[in-house]
Amino acid sequence: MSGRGTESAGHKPIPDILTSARPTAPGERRWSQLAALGLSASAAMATWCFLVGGYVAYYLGAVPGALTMIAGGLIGILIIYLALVPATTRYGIESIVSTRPVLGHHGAWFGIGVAGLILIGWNSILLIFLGRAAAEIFISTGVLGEGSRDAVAAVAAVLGAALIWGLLRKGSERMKKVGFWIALIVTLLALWIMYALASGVGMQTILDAEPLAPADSTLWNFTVGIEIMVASILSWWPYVGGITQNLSSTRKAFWPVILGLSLPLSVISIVGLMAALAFPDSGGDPTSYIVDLGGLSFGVPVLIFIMLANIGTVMIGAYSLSHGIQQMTGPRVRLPWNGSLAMTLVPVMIIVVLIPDLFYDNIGSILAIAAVALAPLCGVQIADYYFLRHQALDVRALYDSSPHSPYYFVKGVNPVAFVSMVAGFFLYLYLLDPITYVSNTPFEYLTASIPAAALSAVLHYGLTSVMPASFRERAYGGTRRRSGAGV
Amino acid sequence: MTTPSQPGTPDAAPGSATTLRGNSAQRSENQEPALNDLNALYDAVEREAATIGPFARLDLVYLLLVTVGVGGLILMIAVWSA
Repeated sequence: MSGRGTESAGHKPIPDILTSARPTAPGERRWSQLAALGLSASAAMATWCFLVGGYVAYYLGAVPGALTMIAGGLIGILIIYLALVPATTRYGIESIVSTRPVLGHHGAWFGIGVAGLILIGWNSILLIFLGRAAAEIFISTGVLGEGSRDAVAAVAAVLGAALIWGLLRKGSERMKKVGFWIALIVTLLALWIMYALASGVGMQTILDAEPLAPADSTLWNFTVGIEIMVASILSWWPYVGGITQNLSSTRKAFWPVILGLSLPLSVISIVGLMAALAFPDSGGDPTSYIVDLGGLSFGVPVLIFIMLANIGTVMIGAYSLSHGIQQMTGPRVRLPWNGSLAMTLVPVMIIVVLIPDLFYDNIGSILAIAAVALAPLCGVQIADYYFLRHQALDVRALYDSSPHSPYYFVKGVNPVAFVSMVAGFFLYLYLLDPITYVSNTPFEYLTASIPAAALSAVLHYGLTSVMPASFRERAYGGTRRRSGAGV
Repeated sequence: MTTPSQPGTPDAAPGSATTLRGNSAQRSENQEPALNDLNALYDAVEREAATIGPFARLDLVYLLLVTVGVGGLILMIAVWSA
């Protein structure tokens, strides 16, 4: 993501998430902290926050759940920050480019693939959400019967995707301020729903509500709450570099990243948590309780706002992924804009039609699957940048994909990094099955993401250190000369 | 944000590498300035990186305090409240 075109706080840029052809020049890094904070918050604040909070309600009550989500958000941001922010701010690069010195030029496609899958996953969830909101409007107003709910939801989701396709076909100029409006709508929705919950259900009732399906172990319930938030924060990985590369120093990125990416997610998710406790079958999803809570005059406008917010968020995701696909294919291939949009939106349409419930009802599993890939990646990035490269990158090599580049490794791939990530991947699966949420000790003490990242980091450092001298000299020798340190 | 200037064209901010590379493919006389521009950009980024300096230990302590420190404190309160 470059974000170089519009740089003021008044024109919040849309992150070009995946990759760009050059670093951000020092003179272009003019974003204020406020602009970066706004864009970070825009990226984090979407209606998916309600669903994340609803998932935590299975394990924790209102007060412990709310506090755990804030704590988990802060702990999760530490991993992302260390893996990305110092490198991306210092060298003006986005998240994907920052993986090239670690994974190799061809290996960086792994990061692109993970980022793409995350975006397709989030976009699918939001369009299913949109479809359910539309179905609820038609059914609650008596226009259609209850039996048509699934069909209406699927048709509305597909129409939503088609509308987004149509809006994006003519470029993304109209999206310049969309992030701001989404954040505003979601904030108003959260306040509105919170007020309705407090007045309709009663705060004391919500505070006294028991978790929906807690485990026997209190410690396990807290740990899984932390894990869900760490996984949610990890899924912002594609966004972070594109925001922070436009800031002129690492320190300037501190509060925008911490406050912008972590706290809004946690705070909005608290509304989803409380809603799920008040309406146990809702899972925090406002489409399933909002009309019951506030009647048609309250519920229908909320549902319309949800649809608008989701259209805006999916537009950002689809634009970013389409742009990334075009960058990946390069200027010589000239993939039409419509073609890259199709590659972005068609998989989403297939998901919303064929397996909507599988996706929508398992958001915790989707988050955990993202964490399975991203926690080990963050681990190897941390080990590589701080302990092997001593925070010194070769800027030319970042954009030189020829076999002569020190970041070419073995046929464009760093096998050490991948072996280390695979080990972290399997450790995660051992500690926590992302599908069933069955865990093994010491998950309840350590979570799954943190040890997976740690194992990958240690292995990456250790295995690199025992690689042949020729490998180390070629891949890290320049680093030693730049930083004046040993490898 | 870099945006597609019109349907069917890839994003290319004025002066970006994409633009430079596209032009150079069509007009060989532009290849030298394009490469020079990129080299100048890389030099400028490396100079800026030296100015910014590495992520210092003090920064790390601050980061740990705000994330793990405050987060841990909030988590302790959460456990106490349960």
